[in-house]
Amino acid sequence: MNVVEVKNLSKSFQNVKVLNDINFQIQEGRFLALLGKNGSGKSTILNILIGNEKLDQGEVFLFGKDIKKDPYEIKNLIGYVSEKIQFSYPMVVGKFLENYGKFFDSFDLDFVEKAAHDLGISLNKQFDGYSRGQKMQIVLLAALAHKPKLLLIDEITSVLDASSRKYFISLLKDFTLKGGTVLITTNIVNEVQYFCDEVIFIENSSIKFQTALKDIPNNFIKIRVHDADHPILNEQGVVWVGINSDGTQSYIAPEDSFKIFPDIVRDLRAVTLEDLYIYHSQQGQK
Amino acid sequence: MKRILSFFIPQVILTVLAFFISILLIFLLVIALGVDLAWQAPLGGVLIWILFPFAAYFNRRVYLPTHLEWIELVPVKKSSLILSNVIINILKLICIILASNILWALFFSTESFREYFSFSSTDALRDSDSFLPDALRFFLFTLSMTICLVTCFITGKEWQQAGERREVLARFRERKFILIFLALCTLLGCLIFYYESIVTFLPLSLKMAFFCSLFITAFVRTGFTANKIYYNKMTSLLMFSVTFLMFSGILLFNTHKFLTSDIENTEKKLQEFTKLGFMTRYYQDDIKKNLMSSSIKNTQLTVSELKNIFQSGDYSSLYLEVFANWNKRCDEGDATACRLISNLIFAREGFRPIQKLRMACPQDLRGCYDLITHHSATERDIALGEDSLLKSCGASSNLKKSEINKDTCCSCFHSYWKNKKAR
Repeated sequence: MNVVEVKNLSKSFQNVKVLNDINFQIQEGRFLALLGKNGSGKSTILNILIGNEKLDQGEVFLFGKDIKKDPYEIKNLIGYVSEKIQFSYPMVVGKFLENYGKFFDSFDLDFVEKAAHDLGISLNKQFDGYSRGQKMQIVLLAALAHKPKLLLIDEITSVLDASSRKYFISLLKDFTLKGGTVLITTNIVNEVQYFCDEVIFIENSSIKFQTALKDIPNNFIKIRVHDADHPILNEQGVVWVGINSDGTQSYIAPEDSFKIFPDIVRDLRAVTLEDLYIYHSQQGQK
Repeated sequence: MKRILSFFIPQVILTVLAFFISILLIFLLVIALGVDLAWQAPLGGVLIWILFPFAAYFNRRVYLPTHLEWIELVPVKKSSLILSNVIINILKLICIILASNILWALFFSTESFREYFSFSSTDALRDSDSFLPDALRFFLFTLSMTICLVTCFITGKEWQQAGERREVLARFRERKFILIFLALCTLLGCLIFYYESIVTFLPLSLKMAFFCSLFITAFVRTGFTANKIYYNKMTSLLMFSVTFLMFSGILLFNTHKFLTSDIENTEKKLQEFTKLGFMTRYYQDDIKKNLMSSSIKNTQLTVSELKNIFQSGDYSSLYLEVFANWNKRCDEGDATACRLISNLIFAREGFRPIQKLRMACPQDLRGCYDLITHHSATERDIALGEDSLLKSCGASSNLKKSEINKDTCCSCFHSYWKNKKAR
């Protein structure tokens, strides 16, 4: 079953088109990453899914229900995590979550307390008294506590420290293994490939590609070029992706480049998601 | 909706209780300091205006969250969110207005004031307005009003979104519209205050309506955002105008109904009339009826209050009719009428001392005494030789209050009058 179904979604802000004819689906149990440059519309998609923004055109279905009809009951099935969410209220977080949980059909406060203990976070402070990363962790725990079926996470990985990130990624993986679905937006591309199943790349208000991670190496090759004037660099689809320790430059190129330039050196390292991300970003700039 | 209200109402109640207690503590502090009576009216006024920033602060602390906060993530209908917001804001509004009324009653209730401080009837002859210099009152009033208006607006959505104080102030400075509006409101407040010293420029009802409208606008701005129904500048202004017209209409209508009714509540009506200022011309018949009513028992109408009532002309028919009525009642032994005549004589400007003396004598001996002992001659009095008459009356006897009798006062007048006729 498609947990999320987006059809011909378009959205503009002050006459600037942010999303243009977006189409994608997310199946149950998938861990999907939404990639794109800053301002590409990733957060807007999440805001529309959670009902915080209205779509201009198109349709969005969550668990088969049209979000335009304000199906508030499905919020029991959705968890949303974002830095914008503040549990600011004149009471300690523990007490707040106790009351917050009453709004949902089920809320596991014990889970929150245990996880907070594991992370070394005390729930006896007001929300504003926590650091940025701690706030995000609390929001994430609260989102997981009411046992949603779909988690929408906006740019969390850049806020958390390495150990917390690892902790939560394992929680999320566990969540997907139990049938939950995760849609995460992020800019830290090189980490995504270790825990995501699929990626959607957004560039210039539209989706450039949507692919399973295992399919990436099949489309491109990575090459090393010594000579800055090598004719392959003028070919369509060749994109610089980094510099190596020996001074050579790494590029990714279409798979059939060897047929045209048999003298080029193949980089034995695999094409990563980050390489692909850079490739499509630069293609978008041309 | 029940879940939302059960979550927020206890917090609202706790916060409002804290608000009430802090106001009462301020009041008790004022009493404990033994503040001079003359300071209490303006100090009370300043404290009431300071209620506004307190109210706005507490409103900010107890609000239904706005703009993608956790409340939008819970499975609750948006209509329930909005309705809950309305209920919570109305509850807060009622509590704040109640606090304002209690404080107003504590500071301005004549019975409680005078009972506590043994307010003597002699003092009623003096102008009971502020002891503080006008400039200082002016400054205090505009300062407190500016604080309250600034706080009301700052505690809107901008504060909640900004988070950091620096950012809030930076955003506030950028809002030219708010600054202009603040300046206009402050100017209006200054005009209200300034003219109040001389004539009552606006009835109390309109002033109440103005600030209630500010309340509502400030409160509503921090709510009603669950469904992104934001109030931008124009809608804020519209909201303010609508509530102002609504409140002022209701208050003025009720005031009018009360003043023109046949309900026998003369004392209260007279107090309301004194606040009407220039609008008394529309209530001449009612004012006359109440002033001449025999049900006036222990009214403490002060000189300034009588001035407010008798604004139009020195020899208006209202004044003469009322004065004649009181004269007659005083002759018949009505002590209240006699005292009112004294107040009235002092309230009326333009009468020469001898005219005042003639009117005072033989009706009210105490008034005569005060006139003799406290008279300050004008140039005209001196030119007519009346100042020496009055001085001689006072100097000739070194009169004490208890020694004044009808003959003493009248003999002074009669001897003058006799001499004048002889010339």
